[in-house]
Amino acid sequence: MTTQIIPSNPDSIKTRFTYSFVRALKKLNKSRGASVSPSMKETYRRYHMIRVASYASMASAVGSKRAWSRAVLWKIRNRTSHRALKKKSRIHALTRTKVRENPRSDLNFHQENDLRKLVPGGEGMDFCRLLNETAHYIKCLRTQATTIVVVWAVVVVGVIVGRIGDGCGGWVEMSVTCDK
Amino acid sequence: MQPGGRDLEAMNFNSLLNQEQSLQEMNNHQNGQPQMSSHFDPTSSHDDFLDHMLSSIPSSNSSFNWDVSSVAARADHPPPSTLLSQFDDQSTQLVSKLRQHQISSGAAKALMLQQQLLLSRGLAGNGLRSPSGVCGGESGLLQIPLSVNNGDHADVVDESFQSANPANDASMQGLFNGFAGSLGQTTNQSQHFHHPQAQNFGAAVPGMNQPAASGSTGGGTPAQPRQRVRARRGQATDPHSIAERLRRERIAERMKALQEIVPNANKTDKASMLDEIIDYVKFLQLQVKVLSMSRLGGAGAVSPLLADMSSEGNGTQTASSSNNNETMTVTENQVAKLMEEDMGTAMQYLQGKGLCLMPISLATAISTVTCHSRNPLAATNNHLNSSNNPLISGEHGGPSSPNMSALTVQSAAIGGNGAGEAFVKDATSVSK
Repeated sequence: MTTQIIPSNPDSIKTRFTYSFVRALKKLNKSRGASVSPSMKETYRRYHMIRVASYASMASAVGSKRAWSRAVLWKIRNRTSHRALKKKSRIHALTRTKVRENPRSDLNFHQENDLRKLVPGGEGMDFCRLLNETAHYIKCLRTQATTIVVVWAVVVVGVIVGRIGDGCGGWVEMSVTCDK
Repeated sequence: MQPGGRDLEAMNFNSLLNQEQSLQEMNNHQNGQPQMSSHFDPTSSHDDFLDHMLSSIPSSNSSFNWDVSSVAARADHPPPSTLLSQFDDQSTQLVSKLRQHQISSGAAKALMLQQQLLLSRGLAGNGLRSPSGVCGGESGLLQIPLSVNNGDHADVVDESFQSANPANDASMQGLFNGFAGSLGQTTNQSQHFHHPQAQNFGAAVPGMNQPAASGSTGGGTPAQPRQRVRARRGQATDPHSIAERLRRERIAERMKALQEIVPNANKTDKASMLDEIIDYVKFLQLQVKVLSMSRLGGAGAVSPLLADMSSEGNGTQTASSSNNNETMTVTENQVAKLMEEDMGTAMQYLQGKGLCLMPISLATAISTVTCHSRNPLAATNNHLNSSNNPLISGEHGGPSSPNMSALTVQSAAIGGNGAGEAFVKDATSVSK
């Protein structure tokens, strides 16, 4: 499948994410082979790989500017290589940085904890920084979700979108030609 | 979720449509007769229609009506024919600009709206109701773009009318020039509102909150200001309390920023705000997971639900497609039954099966885009994609493009509802 992507805003996170995600999907598809009836296990494995691919491409699109993207990339890299090392490092990370427990926000502590668990890399920062990271994380999750839908529509359904750029704040123009 | 409020908005919008349609007809009628016997008749009736139209918008502004009535009061200054023609020009300008805007972004909006529909019940409820008004009016001004994006367009038109509010406040003086100026500003502002709205829409945010939130902001400042502790009582010199205060202020700042991002964020309480944020993050993560799994699950892989429903996990295309059809009818009957009682449970049921409801117009929009661009490739793709593509079933009465390579259209009469709903089903994923 040949894909020509002409981004209207080449430097946005959205564009970078789209590029890397589509590339990852292509790679996954190639490696899938010609199995007609995959087992359930294989299907779920494939789902998992797609999900990891989407998170990875999102994190790499954001770069290392944000703590959560760094955490995601780090997790993914270490997941493939050393699981034991990862466990050790995570414990190490927890003990290394002190989470400042403000007695004033004791009633919010429970929620704070939940938020830390949700946002990747949220374990080792204070509440203020956590809120910052959460805001950026939410924005990126949103663009990720919408991009997946567009990629689905273009790639899977085969909708060729001429100019999505109008009025939508920087979508990519994609023209996809499918030859099989 | 407030389905009631959304329905009200939709119905008001329908009445707005009807009135606008009659306004258009009246305009056409009166343009044919430039010389009116009495000066005030066309003006006043025109303004009456306009007043009706404006007052029917739920969050409409009284100042707009005020402006219109002030214009009516000064109607004797300019000759009524020019009054009327200016009204015409401005309103049609505005409408045509909106329409252009809509159509050009129609495709992407359609896609994003589809996702939104997939994940928010309330919006789907609205999307079902508004077409019923649209399909009725054939010569409505805004009929075409509305048929493409239902809930979306309602928001934008609401936006444009609301954005006229500050514009009108600014240009309260003057006759038609003031009004014309405000309308000119309106079109610009509608585009401004369009951009952030587009970003937000694409995010499957429960869309019903968007117009409410933006209506309440309307160009003003959002959210309550947090109480700033300015204790200058002698503890100011204490570095700890200063640091504490600074920290609290920073946290408050961040919470305010988060409040703007997260929908449904009208909670003043910090704890409930945090709850909201946590829920939203969980929701987004789940959404990404579901989307990447269900949409891009890979070729030849039957969705797990269907695999369970068929006797064995048969991966051949014919078996899966026949199973698809069976399950489709069962599902349709079930959903039709559920829809009579409660939309919410119907949507829940559908979502549990990995389906969603989308208006026919949206489905046809997608299929039209597909059809136009895929015609040369139709032959090659037909065999490959016929049973693997998402099936879209729609009402037979709706406008449908006959040859669709990628999409199959089945007719389904659903509960006698003339609006037309369609199932979008990811039975199997497509082989590339």
